[in-house]
Amino acid sequence: MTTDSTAQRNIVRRDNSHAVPDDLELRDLRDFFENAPISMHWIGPDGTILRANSTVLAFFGYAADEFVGHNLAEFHADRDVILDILSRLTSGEEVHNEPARVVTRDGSIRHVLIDSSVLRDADGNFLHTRCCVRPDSERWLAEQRLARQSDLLEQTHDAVLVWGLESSGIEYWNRGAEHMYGYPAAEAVGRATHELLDTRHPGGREAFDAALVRDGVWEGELTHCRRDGSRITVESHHVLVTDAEGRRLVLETTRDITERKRAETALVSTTDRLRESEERYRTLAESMPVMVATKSPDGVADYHNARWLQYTGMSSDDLRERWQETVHPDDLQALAECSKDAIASKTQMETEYRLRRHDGQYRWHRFITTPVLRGGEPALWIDASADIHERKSIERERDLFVRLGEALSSALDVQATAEAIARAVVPEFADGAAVDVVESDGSVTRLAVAGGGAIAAIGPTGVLQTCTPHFDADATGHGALIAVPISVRGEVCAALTFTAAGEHRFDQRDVGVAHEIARRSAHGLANARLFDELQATAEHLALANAAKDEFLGLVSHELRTPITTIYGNARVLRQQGDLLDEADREAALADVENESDRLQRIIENLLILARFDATQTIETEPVDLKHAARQVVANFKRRRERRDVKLDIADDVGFVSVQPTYLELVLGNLLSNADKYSPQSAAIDLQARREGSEVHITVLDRGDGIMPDELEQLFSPFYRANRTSDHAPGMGIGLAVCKRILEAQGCRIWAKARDGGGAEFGFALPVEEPAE
Amino acid sequence: MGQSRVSETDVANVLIIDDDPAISRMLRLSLLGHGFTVRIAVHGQDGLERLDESEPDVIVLDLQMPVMDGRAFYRELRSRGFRTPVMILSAFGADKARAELGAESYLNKPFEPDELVDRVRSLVQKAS
Repeated sequence: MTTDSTAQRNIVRRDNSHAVPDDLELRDLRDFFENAPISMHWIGPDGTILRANSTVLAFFGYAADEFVGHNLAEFHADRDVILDILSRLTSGEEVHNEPARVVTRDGSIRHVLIDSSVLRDADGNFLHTRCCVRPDSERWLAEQRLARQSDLLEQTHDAVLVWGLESSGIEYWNRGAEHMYGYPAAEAVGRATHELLDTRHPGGREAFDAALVRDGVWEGELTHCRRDGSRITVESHHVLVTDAEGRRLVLETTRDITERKRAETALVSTTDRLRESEERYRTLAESMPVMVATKSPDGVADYHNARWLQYTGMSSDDLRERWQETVHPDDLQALAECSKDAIASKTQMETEYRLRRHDGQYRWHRFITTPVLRGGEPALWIDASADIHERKSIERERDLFVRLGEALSSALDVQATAEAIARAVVPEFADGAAVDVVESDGSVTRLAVAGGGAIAAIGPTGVLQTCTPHFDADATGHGALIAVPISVRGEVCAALTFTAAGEHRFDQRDVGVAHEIARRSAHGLANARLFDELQATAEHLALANAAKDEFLGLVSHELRTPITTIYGNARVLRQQGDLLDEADREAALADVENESDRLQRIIENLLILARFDATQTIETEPVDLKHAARQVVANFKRRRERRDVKLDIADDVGFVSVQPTYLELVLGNLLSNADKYSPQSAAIDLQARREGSEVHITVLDRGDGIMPDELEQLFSPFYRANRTSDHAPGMGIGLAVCKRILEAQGCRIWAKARDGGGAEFGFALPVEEPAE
Repeated sequence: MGQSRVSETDVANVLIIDDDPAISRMLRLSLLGHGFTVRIAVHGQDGLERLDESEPDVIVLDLQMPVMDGRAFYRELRSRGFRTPVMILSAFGADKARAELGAESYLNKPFEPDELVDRVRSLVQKAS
């Protein structure tokens, strides 16, 4: 090089001494040459660089002494090319746009275009070339592009490989392929692609080859085996190309989609799971025995499960717009408050409310609203509504029956019991209730009413007559009135009527409840009836007890008076018998006799009263009434000498059929009765008249007579007329004895007011026809 | 009838009011035997008429009588200003009636005739 460099210097010097016409022109040309923006240099015939301007030095990157004097071939990548250009120039050619490749100082190769011509002397000797070098811009750009592409090809993560269709031998293997498969290019190139990568085609190798040859392209997924033995899924793109030599090559680009596939599989799986999960929850929501709905955070329903729709008989849209219509008016507020509380607290809340079913029935439901929180805020509300009507009904009925039981147990008599029943069922069961009872005479009395006014118009007569409940159910099985009979020991004794007001309607279940109320009330009413009877019995017993006390007093009085007379007279006769005059002594003795007789009659009456009851019969015999009556009046007159008795027996009265002793007793008692209850001055009439097959015997007085209300009790034992009981002696058994005796003989006795004042007591005896 | 036989003693006058003539007759004989004079009335109204004739020293009064009973008679007696001692005589509740009316004495039937005489005598002595 040192030698070349010295030679070049020599050439430059030589030029300066020989080729300058004048100084100015020379300076101008030199300056132009040096500063021209075109690379220019002069080459000697041996290829030595003689001159070079600044532009060419800058192009190559050398200093002047590193370039000038050196052989041009040193700076060209293709020696043949530059020697060829030089030989052509030497032979006299001019070179234009001759491509060549130069090597710059940094080692890079640049495509250039060369224009050159030769300067010869007058003899035609080759002095030097005048050479312009300019970059081959198109080529450079193309190379740059290619380099970029190649770089891209190397930079890409995709594997790019080229292999022969027939041989499968790999001819190109980029960095992406190295990275993807783990084989360096040196190892891969030359190997059969299918063997190296253990390619598995989805449809088999033959089909793949056929498709590729037929279509020229093939796209699809394959699996390849990497150097480490792992298998990857690739998205592969094959293009069949033919090179300049006519060989068929396959350009294959592959992209590892294993992760994507895995992600896709995972995604598919997740999607499936989500779908499945949603499906599951929807199925759950649809199959639960609960009505489920979802609401947006602002409370608008966006889903109702089928059960909800079926229950209400409304569409989802209808429910969204008009859900309030399905809630019982009384429960709207509670429901609204529940939702409000839930929204305020962002927590689950629940309440109970009545929801209208498609058939119009309001049924109790438990409502639970639950927020689904996202980031602490409700993203969704899940409403569940469970039909708790049965439970609620059972609870309500249990409470009702407890209340009824308490009411029944606290009431004693029938009236209080009826009121208790009516009060116990209103308003929890019915809006109105009435209790009607059947009295002993068959009439119906409304004992108690509670609640609604409409009930007054409805009578239970039908229920009481037919013994079957009445329920005015409409087509949907609902009604506003139930009436049920109450039976005690198989006998209908009362009826309960229940009414429903407003929106409230009864259903079949309520009819059952009504029956149960009736059944339980029956016990209560039966007990109350027993209580009333007991009360009546107690009162009766108290009266009877008082009557017995009075009777004992009367008996003692009735017995003591004659005993006093008898005993007193006995003492008087014993103590002063001699001192008494005849009349006094006779009277005393007569009094003893009469009072003894009186005692005997009293005892006889008492015995008869105790012995006879209404079913007893007495043997009768023919008795001459006229004779018997005279006897009785004579006996009476002995005791009551100042009392006038008029005996009046019709001629056609003969024998009657009677027990003679009892006939005397009856007549005697009736006379005593008349004597007791009429003024002493008025006569007593004893009359007998024939009336068909009977003889009517009457005892008539002029006393105070008989009040109409006394008639019933007149013949009861121990009855004594109120007006006279203070002063009339006697026990009140005389008339009762008469009645018992006569009824035992199949005869009747009566009492009535006597025309013109006083009383008439009469009895009828059958005529005893004399035997022919 | 027998008044003359007891005339030597201080004669006390007894009025018997009873509707039962047998009782009245027996009482009369008992009292006569012990020197009392006796008048008989058959009921209260009758008794009041006897008072108008002369006031007795003692009245023996039955309770149950027609026209005017013993209670009515007693009240009428006192209302007319008579302070005559009264002995209630009854088969039943004489003690009760005595307490009710404030009568001076009583006897339940049957009774010992001597007992009656003793009571009447006691009433006469108290009054004098």
